[in-house]
Amino acid sequence: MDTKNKEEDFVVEAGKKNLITINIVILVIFLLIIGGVYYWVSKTSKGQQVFPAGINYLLPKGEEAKKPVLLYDFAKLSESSDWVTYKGKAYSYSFQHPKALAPLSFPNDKSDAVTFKVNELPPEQSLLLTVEIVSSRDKNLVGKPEEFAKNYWKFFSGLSGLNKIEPITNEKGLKGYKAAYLVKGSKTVTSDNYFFQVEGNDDILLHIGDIFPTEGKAVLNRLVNSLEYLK
Amino acid sequence: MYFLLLFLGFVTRLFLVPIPGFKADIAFWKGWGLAVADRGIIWLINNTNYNYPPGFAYILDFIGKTYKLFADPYNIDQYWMDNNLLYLFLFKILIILSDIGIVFLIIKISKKLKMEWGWLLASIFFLNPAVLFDGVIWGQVDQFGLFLFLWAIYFFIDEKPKLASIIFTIAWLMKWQNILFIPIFYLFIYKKYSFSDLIKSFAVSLGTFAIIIFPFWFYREMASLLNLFTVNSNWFPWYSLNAFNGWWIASGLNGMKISDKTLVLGIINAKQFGLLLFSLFYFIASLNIFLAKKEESLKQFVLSSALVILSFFHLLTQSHERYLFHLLGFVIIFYFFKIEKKLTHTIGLLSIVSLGIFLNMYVSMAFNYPDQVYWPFSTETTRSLTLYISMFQIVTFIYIFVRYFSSFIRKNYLWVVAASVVFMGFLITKNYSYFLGKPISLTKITPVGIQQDYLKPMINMTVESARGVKYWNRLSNNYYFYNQGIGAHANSEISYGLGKRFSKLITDFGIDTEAGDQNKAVFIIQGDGRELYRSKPKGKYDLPESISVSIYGIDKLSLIVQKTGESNNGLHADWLNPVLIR
Repeated sequence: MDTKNKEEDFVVEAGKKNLITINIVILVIFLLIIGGVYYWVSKTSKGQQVFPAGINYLLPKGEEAKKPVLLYDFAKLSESSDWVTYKGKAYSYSFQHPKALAPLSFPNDKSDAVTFKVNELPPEQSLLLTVEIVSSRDKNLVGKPEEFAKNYWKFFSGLSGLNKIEPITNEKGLKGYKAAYLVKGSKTVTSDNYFFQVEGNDDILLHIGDIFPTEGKAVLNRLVNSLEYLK
Repeated sequence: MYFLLLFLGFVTRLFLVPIPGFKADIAFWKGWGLAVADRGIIWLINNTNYNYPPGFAYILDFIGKTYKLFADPYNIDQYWMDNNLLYLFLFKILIILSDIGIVFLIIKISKKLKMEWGWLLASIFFLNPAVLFDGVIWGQVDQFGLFLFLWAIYFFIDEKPKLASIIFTIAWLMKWQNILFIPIFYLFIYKKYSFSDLIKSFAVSLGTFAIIIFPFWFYREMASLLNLFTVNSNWFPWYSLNAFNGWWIASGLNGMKISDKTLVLGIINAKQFGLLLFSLFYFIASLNIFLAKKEESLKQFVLSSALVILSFFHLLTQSHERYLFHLLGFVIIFYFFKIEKKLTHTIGLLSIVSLGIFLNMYVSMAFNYPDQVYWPFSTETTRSLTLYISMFQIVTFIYIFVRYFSSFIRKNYLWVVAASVVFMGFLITKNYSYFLGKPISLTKITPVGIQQDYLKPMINMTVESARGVKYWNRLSNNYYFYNQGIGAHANSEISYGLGKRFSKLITDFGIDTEAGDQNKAVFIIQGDGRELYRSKPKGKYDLPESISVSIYGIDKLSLIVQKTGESNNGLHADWLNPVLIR
């Protein structure tokens, strides 16, 4: 009788041990799967820096000079009714922008570029709108706006390829492409670039670069949607 | 079976953690978390735009310090990336724990009330797309608030009002929405227990409050705390912050473009009207508890809490898209409290409520971060769709109100009629002069927009008065004093949303006696962006001028003061006794 009980106890004990082992194995597999997914996501996803809007803290004192500073309350600007029209000097494009942002243009600039001081870069290195003269980049791309947008990265040594491209039409009916490019030697991608076609002139494209911090996305969207070209 | 469902919900959440979600919110958590971890809570509140309750800062502090153990938060190329997996994991794991806590409480409440289907309803909550979207996808913390509120309710079922008060105090110091429940919470304690229990509950609440805000009173920074409590009142002064409700429809499906200081009824603006409506519904919710039988009072407290959250979302301006979240928990416990007796009805109602909340949040995400969701419609089509989502949510609100409150109102109609009379009385009293066609002082109307280079415009005081009590001064020009007016400073622009209600503006204007005598300014009146009047340059010793300007058909009226020379130094400019004529 005693021997039988001992045998049963042994079987139960062995069963428990097996169950624990199985549970541990399942847990390890589960953690490996989740860990694997996280590893894969971290290796493949191309993120962008997002800083909090308004007055905020990014680094300890002493290093604060290095931090990107938000120069405007973009949420308020994007919703403001106080927008005015900017007109190109050499080309007859126009767009709306918040009155609080002063347009900066450059004397005798053939590309009729304009920008705003909305980030820490010098304005000349951070242009909002330029008129791209396609033939000056590549004569073969005249009249081929999509090809131009796809190959735009080739004109810059710091870029390594096209990340994505999609056709867009703004609220004023201008058609074009929105593209982003891969940055050479890093996992990051550029901010969005918009290339709008101009009816009746195949040799130019209105190029808008996203110079705004992430918080200014709504300002950019509104600005892009107001872009027009008068014949 | 239920374990499997809950496990499925848990695994789903873990897989969703890497989604960057509402990037601006996560960036705020990072910024504030780093600030509080490095400099402490008082520095955080005094030096950043932190506008959440103090309790939440401790959570951010914990995450910030934990992050430092594993990675360098000062590496701006890593910490601030929207796909910073470590940060997303540390933050969202707390959201997941809150969800699990809510599941646990749903099951415990069902058991405590000897009701079936606790596991089923808890599983439905855990797998609810609206819950998943708000928390682990979006990165918001509404679950913290709901978790603590349900915990307080659990203590009430357990007849432990003091413990409930402690948890409830933590709840509203963690998530502002819970402040809404403060009056009905203590009203319920008074009704269910006694006056003595009410005092004891107040005492433990006060003790909890004192512990949580310890750094503020210890370092004599209570003014900062007070500022934190009030800073949100006009943070986003719009009709609706993507909450698809009646205000969203009234704004023309663009709630963040119309100021809630726009006049909607006589001289009552949208914000005031919303507050009045909310007060009426809050009164009904309070009455529902006050008139309940003692043994029914907890049930009625739960029901009233649901009405409060619905009214908050639908009736007040400045409501966010997520503000109905508590309802996802409340509707479930409706079944355990037999507010809704049929399980199928409960699940049906929960599905309807969840659908509205989910769509509201999903579309808001599509508006703000289209890369975070799949949304095949253009912005304009989406705006049209928001009309239907708004109508769907409004109908749900009306349905819940009628279904659960109609018999109460029928039984106690005299109370409700009395409250409605007070409500109407207030509307009429406030608009008395307007309805009779008498002149209305512009000082009684809140501006929709203010821009000023120095200090802020003051009502019935000079601009310098804005510096504090020691600087208070009456409006005057060359020592001729005015009781009413606006003390401004060049350059300034003060705008009013008059809604084409008035035909004439009559006002005096001039440079105040307290101004410097070096500079001059012009006074400009604009209507809908068109200049209606421009004065000659005015200096300190010029006498005040009196004008009458037609503003017939004008929606937006702007009073502008502009310097005429290089400097605006000392240009204290007054709009004196400005009145509107219908």
